Amino acid sequence: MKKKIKKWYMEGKKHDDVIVSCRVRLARNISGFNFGKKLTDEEAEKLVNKVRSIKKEIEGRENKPFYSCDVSKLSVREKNVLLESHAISREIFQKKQTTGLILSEDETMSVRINGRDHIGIAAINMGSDLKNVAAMAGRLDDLIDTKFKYAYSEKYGYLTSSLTDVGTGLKASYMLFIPAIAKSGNLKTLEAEMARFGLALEAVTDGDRQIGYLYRLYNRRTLGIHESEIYESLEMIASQISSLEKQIRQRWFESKGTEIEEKVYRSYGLLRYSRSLKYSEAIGLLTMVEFGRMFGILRSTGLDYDIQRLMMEIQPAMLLETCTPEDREVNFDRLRAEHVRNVLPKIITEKEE
Amino acid sequence: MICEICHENTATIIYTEVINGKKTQRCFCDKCAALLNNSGKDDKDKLEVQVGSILSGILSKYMERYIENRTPNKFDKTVCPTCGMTFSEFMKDRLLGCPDCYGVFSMVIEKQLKTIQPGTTHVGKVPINAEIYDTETPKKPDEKKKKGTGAKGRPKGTTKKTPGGKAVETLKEELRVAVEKEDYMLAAKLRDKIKELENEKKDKKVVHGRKKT
Repeated sequence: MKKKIKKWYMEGKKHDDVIVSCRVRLARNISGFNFGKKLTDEEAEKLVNKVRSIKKEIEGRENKPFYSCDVSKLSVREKNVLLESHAISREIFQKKQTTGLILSEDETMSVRINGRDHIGIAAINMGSDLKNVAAMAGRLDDLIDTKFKYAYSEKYGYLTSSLTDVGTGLKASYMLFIPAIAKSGNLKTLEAEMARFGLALEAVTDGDRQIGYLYRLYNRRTLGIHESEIYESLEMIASQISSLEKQIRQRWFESKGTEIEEKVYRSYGLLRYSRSLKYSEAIGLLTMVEFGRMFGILRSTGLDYDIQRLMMEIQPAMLLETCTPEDREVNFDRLRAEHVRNVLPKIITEKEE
Repeated sequence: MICEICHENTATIIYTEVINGKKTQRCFCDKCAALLNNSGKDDKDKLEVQVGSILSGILSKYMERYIENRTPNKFDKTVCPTCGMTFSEFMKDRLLGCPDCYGVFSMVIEKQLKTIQPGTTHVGKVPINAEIYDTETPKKPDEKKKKGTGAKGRPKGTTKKTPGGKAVETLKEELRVAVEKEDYMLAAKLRDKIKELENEKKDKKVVHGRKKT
């Protein structure tokens, strides 16, 4: 399954220092099958095979290659990679029943089969172009619509197993990098504020620990609200959070400039020369380096290796993919430090200028 | 004090939370408190209210009492004929078993949707080739599948009906009554609303479902 293909998160810098990526997920169910909770093992297998059979059509329509696999038959390591790169949901990761995945080579588009709902259509990309991502998901939806009969009701729209998805079945989200807001203690108020717009702001975690000041802003409401309204409110709020974050960063930099400069260089030094890095430590250091770049303290030469990409790549399973170590005994902390040393951009020091 | 969830019943549980010196007071009625407890820790989406785990212990008592004391619910013995989902099973994690469950548990679902969604009627994208389920009336065990099909499979002789059709018809009826009563203010509002809906329909990719029998 693994050739070196450029994935969406490797696509250089497209984000605006706050909005990292955006994602659209559509929950759909096919009539004639019970929902996940009441789906038998045989039915699950039938469902997965049925949906996986349309891979060719999707490839034809999108004009790019897609992988298709039975996720439940993959090794834990392979599943972990898919989970860390957001290609499958935690639900599918944990499910014992047959589950499936159709995934584009660049991993921007996917159809997840037999998760919480029969079909989870997902599109993801770097940057803040939610409309484009929505269009990608919409295309997959339209194609699947012609192949299978969706369960639908005039009153409730697309029928889903959970009442939190029913209606449009749409969950759209932005991934936000907001360390300044998080550190300033404004997060709680902001989270509460979001509820008023029917949105939610949640820390991105890998199950139990938070991943580097990343937060997901998504819509809670799906019924009685038009798709376009959901996109609009998300876009509006995301851009507001973005400018708030930038304001706080600026204020912070103005009042504690020298302190930040010291921390940025110290963090860079540790990343550059460490021989062993714990995940949480690396994330903290990378955040400071990212700050340094944003404030113009650090300037890198040549290849601008995206720090957000690096943050994704230092997760355990992804590390194994990018580093391909010879020996079987893997020390993740050493591997992580090695990978960071290899790809961390070189910086221009004052003397060179 | 009124319950902050249902805004109907009198609150019997006043819960004061002090986090980092910040005091917040929440008030629930027995019923909502019980449901709140039942919604579980992981289901943050289900209810917008998140309450500390300590509360969960207190509330579990209320849940027990609620189950013992309440008048037997007519849904208690309801089972979905298609997938075998029981009422209590549904209430446990609020996940439905199949599309027919929507009709079977319609009364409860409607109420729950009101608390978590901005509306209870779908607006937005309409599929071209869907199996249309009747989610308002429960499916009876011996009944044949009471489903219409999408545009492609519509049997001859059935009335065309758009997803928004029912609303327009009701409005027209209301308009007629309003005119009879000479309530022209209301009539004007209704007329505008009908126009708006009809225009909307034209704009949308209109998909016809079969009229419910």
